Amino acid sequence: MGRLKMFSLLFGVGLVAALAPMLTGGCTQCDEFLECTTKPGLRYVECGSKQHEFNDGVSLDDEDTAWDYCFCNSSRLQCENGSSLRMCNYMTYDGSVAALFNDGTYAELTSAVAGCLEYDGCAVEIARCNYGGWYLNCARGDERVYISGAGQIFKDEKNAVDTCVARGPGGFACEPIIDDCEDLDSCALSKACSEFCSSPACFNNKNAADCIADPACRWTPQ
Amino acid sequence: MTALRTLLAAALSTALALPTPALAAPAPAPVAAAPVDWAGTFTPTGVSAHLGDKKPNIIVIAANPGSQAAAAAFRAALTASKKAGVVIDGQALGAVDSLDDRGIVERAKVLPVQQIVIVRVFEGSPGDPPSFIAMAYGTDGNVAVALSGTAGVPLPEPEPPTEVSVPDPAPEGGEEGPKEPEEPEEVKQAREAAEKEYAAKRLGGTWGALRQGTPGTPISPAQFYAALGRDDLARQVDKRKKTRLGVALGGGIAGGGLVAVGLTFLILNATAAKNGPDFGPDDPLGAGTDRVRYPLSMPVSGALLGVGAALLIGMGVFLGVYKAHPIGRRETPGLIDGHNRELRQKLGLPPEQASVRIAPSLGASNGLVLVGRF
Repeated sequence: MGRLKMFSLLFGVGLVAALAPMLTGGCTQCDEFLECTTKPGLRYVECGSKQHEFNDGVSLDDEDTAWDYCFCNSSRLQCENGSSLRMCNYMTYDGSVAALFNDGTYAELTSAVAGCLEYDGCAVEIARCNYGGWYLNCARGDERVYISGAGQIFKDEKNAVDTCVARGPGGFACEPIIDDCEDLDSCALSKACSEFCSSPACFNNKNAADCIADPACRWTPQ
Repeated sequence: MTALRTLLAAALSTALALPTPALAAPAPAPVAAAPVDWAGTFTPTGVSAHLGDKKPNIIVIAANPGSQAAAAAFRAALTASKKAGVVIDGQALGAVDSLDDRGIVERAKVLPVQQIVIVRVFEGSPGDPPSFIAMAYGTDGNVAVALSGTAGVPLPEPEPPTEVSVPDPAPEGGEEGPKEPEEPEEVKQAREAAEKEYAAKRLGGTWGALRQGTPGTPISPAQFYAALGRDDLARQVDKRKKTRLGVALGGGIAGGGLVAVGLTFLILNATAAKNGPDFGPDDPLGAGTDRVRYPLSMPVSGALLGVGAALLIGMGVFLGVYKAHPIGRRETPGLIDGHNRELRQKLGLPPEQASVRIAPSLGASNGLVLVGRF
């Protein structure tokens, strides 16, 4: 009986010692996913306190790194004054946007990018993007440039739109983002409006590339 | 029941020697009544010696014509002894002359009595006094006692249980020698003191449950070897105990821990998909994992579980084989006997004798009990 008691005690000590981490949170549960903004369609799930899983297959232990991977592009935008900044878009999380300069300072994204590239101002565009995609529309007088979240600068807007749209293997449709084609500068710019310059007929765009190129439409997940 | 046993024990010598009437035996022939002094045969002391302390109610039945006086004397002696409860005669049974004992017992057992005594008297040879047989039955029909005797001769006293001892080997060439002289009081006291000391110091028990004294208190292996004067073995016991404790501690904690860790992660990995990441039904990229990634994978968890179990089993085997006793189980009786022998010798006591005691066991299952010490 005594031996049995001792064995039970020792076994119990080992068991409790080993189970302590499990009992205090080791049995991991994952949270709801967050929509990321660095890549259209990228999603992020936090499991426990150390596991951060992305739906592109990336798994990160550090929360700050995972946070940046989700909301802050790793590519830096080179400024006219020689500095650089990372563009962070937390709009799918809390609606905010931020720029992180290489000296560690934070600023509001649109004004920081406009200052960085010496434009009059910038605006975040999401209307033609899907999921959490975005790009910046910056103007300097009549000149306009479009800057992707990864810091690429395009003269043609459709190239910027192309960076913020996830095409996906199916379940997408080309849907209008405006009610009246009159809202466009020219109906000729849109295949959906070129025939009847009234309500955009986005279904005329048969594939993702045509839809992405059409300013009246968005490649929308169903 | 004690009374019955005692009674039967007392009667054994005579009852076995005399013809006991079988239950189915026919009633004996009537004898002519003659003035006989049955009071001298059935004395209060003589009959009450067979009764015990329970004061049973007894019916005494004269079973043949010549036995009335004997039965009356038996009843009178029982009543006078004050060791019986109510003593009644057989009138309530009606005529019993033609019945055998079994029939009489069948009739009598409905009465509020515990013993049924059936008395029969037999005429002796011319000039000789008559003899009697008195059978006492329980209400279950079993014979409690059988008495027999001759008119005018008092009943025999019950004999105590017989004890038979194996005698000491007779001295060489010695026939039955003269009786030893009674030992002096001082010698007797010294011998008793030595016996007392021996009883307190003698070792006994088994390898797994050692005892010292009489009847004996449990002692540890270390105390056992100390009592034997084997300090080297006592030290080995301590050392072995420490080794066992170390192995038990190490094996128990490590084995238990590994088993727990392995088992835990096996379970967690098995349920990882259930609690794993969910990227939504419209997952646009669909390249992520659906499982929680635990620090230990399934194969590693299984390996840990196996190692832990092996440690525990190994520990169990070790503790089973490596006992605190430095000597084997079979050596212990020899050590105990040797110690006890030496102790007796040291105290000046003779070697322990083997003895056999035989005592009658009477009652529902009659027979003899053999109690031996070797």
